Amino acid sequence: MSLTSAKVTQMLQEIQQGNKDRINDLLPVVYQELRRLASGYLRREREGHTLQATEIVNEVYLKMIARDDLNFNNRSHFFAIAANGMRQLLIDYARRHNAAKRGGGAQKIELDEGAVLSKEQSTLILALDEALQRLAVLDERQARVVELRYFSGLNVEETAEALGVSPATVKREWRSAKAWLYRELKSG
Amino acid sequence: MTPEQYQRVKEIFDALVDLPAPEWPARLEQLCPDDPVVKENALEMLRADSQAEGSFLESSPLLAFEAQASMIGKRVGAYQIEDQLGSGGMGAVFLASRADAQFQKQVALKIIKKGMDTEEILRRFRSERQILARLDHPHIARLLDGGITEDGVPYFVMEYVEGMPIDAYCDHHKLSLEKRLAIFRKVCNAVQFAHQNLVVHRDIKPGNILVDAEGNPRLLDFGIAKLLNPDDSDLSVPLTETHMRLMTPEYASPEQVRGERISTASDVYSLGVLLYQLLCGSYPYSLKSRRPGELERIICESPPRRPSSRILRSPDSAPGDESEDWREIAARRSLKPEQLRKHLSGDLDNIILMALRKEPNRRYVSVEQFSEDLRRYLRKLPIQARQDTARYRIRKFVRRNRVPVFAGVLILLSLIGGIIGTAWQARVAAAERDRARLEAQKAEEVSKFLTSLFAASDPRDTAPDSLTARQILEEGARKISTELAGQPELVADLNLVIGQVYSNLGDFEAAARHVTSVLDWQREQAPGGSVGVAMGIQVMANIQAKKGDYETAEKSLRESLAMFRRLLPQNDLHIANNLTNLAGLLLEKGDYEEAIALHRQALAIREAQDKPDLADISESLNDLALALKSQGEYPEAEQLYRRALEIREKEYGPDHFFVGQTAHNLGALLQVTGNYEEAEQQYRRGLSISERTLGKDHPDLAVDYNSLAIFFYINGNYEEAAKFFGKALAIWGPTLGEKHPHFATGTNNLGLTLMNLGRIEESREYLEKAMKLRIAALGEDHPNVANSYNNMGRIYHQLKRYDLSERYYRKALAFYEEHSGPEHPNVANTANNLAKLLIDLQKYPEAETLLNRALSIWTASLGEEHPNVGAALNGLGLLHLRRGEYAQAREFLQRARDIYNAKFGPDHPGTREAEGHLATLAEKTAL
Repeated sequence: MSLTSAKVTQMLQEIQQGNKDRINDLLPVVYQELRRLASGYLRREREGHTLQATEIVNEVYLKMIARDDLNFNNRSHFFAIAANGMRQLLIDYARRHNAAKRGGGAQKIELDEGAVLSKEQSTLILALDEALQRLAVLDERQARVVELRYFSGLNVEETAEALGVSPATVKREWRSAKAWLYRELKSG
Repeated sequence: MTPEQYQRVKEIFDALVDLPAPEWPARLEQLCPDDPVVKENALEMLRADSQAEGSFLESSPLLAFEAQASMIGKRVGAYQIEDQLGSGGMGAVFLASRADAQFQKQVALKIIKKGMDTEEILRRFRSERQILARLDHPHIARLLDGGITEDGVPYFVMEYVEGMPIDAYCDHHKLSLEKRLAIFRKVCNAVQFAHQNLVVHRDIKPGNILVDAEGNPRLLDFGIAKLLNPDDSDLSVPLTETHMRLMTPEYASPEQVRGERISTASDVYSLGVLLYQLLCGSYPYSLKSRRPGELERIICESPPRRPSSRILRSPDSAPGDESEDWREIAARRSLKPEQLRKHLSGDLDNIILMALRKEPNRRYVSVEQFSEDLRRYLRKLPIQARQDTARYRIRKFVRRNRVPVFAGVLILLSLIGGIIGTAWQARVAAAERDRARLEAQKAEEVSKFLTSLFAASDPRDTAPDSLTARQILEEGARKISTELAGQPELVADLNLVIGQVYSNLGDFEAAARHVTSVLDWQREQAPGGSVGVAMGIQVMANIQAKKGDYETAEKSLRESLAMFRRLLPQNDLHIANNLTNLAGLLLEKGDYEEAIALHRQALAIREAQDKPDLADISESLNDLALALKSQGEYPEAEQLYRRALEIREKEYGPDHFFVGQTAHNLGALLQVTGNYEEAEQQYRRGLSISERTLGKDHPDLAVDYNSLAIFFYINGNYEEAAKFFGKALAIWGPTLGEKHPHFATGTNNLGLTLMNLGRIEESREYLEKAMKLRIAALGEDHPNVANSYNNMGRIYHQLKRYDLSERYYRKALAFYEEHSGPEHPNVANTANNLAKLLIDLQKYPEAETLLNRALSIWTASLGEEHPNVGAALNGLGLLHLRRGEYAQAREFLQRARDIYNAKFGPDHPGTREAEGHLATLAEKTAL
């Protein structure tokens, strides 16, 4: 097991034991790993190789989305899982960050604690997650475009690759999805 | 909206979105003339489009993490970054190792955020590094290196420490307050060391204090804050956003927030916040606002909340609200919220608030002093931190002397062995109560006087411990006679107070002297008697009773009662209080019937008040139950104890001394009725409260030891019983003296235990001594003396001095039959013992009569499953065995064995006695 992987395992254990602060530290590592995998996957896919998820992503997904079978059949499957995993991680992060004050403890203040995301961002992430669930009912593919773009940070081309559609389609879907989501968030 | 409708909405959106807005309505009509839902949604989305462009949706929040993630694997200076450890306001911390080293030593590498003044930071680093490298202390992580990355950002290299932040560590291990204080003092030690080396930390917070697996804290980032802070000058720097970013607002002192000069006192403040958080799980202020101006106002102006006041009182609130969290917070300290509140309230509150004072020069002068005060707290010594010296000392004094005002009183416990228990009688002397009320009326004068008393001995100049209570009293008495000569009423009040305190200290002569002087003066004022005189008489009676002079005390109490009845309405509380005192005394004297009658009268008066005082009522319930138990009225006694306990828990809180008393008494009752499991629980509860509220050598603590010993005795654990009886005696001997009835009781009980341990000769000495002490203190006509006769019968039976044994048993039986009534459990007890002797003397008919009598009394009062019933059955079994009536013998013995076995298991002496007889029986019938 690589050092990073061991570290991730430990961080996941700590998160499960209630040390939610660790999500702060886990996210960048997982993100980097995902980015690395994603680029590797896209490259190798073109060369006709089959993807094997690394230990680390396995670990994260086992714990975070409770999937024990992670042999990805194809790139769409991989990205669906990956995007969902990142979404889950971000939601946890935002929830914790956003958690209402309880028990007289002081509110964590953004000035410290390495809050990479602002409180507003955290609030928005949670609201967006809910809106996205509603969107998925109306148009699943469009919801996945949002998930990949927003929650996994893929660009238009990467998203198109992941979904096996043209970049133009992604652009179009992304624009109307944003309009729909924006309206939802404003009215909500 | 359906998915199909949404598809149409999207189509329309795509078609129209790049057209100018004014054209939208017309085109909409064309494309979708029929569906208003689609039209409306499409129009709204079109309008949203321009706003959504460039909104937060445009960039994934994940990109924010990319910068950090990209560091892993890179090289910084001589170090290879391996992993991210965390991130903070100043930047991110990575795990790294020297890329060029032979051996892999891991370090923590902190990369400062971009945008800070790199040149200035490096300049500071170069000038400070020698000092920082000198900070060689077991609880400080050292700064090893520093430099600038390829991207031009400063970094620092520190020792890598594996551990949990101190707050998480304490919560995770559910550390008690004491253990938290111990770790905290180690932190203080490290900070003090740094201060001696002229380094101020400036950023003390849990994230900078990691505790390793061995429980040792390590402080990180020493000196780093100073390297980064732009305010290293005497000049005041205005508060800026950057400035605030460098601090953790919860831990920032007022001078830090204002940008004023920072000193060691700033660390004292931050340590105060840290301690606040470690002890009560929250922060001194609610810092919801992140606006610098608002933060500054709160930190610099609003007073911190007292830690104890943060713990909510009500444990009954609905789950999910704040009290739920207090339960959790308290549980993480292995306490209940109420206990946590109590621990914090007082000294710890004061210590923390002293560290948190707004003005640096009013805080502890040094971290060392802060730590020292905590040490003093842990040792239960007076602490330095306090608001008002005189008031503080008075409170300390009053608290030390509060509990002993209440006396523990002896009662009889009828058991097989005739062992005697002691029980609490919450006998608050009525005079004390009235005195307290009187005192309240003149509270101001009295407290002024007391304040002057304490101020005169100037605690600031003298060491706080050097003043004893007695010295203070003597000083007080002197002042009363000289300075207050013109105010006789005040003199009277104060003399009563002082008399009472002397009485509590066990100096009855001094007590009597002061009270007598008051009484003489009062009688002079009102020769025909007055309420004041009656109250004085009661205080006097209390002192007489404490001395063990029950005859005089009884006379005094009857005199004051008559005086009250003459002067006051018949339902006046003075009368109820006097009745309670008299009844308590009568109980001690063994006059159970009158005691019960008087307690019932007192209870009736207290319940009939317009505004009944629940505390008073619980006292009556407790005392009446005690008297009822002495009389063998167990079910009513149990019911009253439970009522009293419920009221007291509600009125005083679960850990109050009074709750402990009633719990103890209930335990004693449950023990008699055979509910041993709950009895032990209640005893232990009472004992733990006593241990906390009374001193280690307090005679009333010995009452709890005595009871717990009885519990062990009944369970056949004689070794433990002897140990605790011994502990009780060791307290009673020196504190109460050998003439006190308690001492006789302890002696008696230890004697009986020794008999059961087979140490017969020692046992006889103890029992005989107890008997003689009792006759001397109580006269021959006392139930305790009868109890001694019973026990003497037992020891002589053991010694095979049958004549003596029979004589003592018959004396005891005659007394009980006459004074306690033929159906009293004590009659059964002695009858049972005498019957066993008669079996050995082969006087079977009388033995059988006595055993049947004991059996019927016990079955009626205690139920068929009680071990005492087993004892009578054992006796009957033996009787029939000796007579050769084996079938009957077997039936009795098997029942006896089953009862004992069910209650205590196979190793109990009762079980073994039955088994032994059954074995004999088996041999006989086999022949």
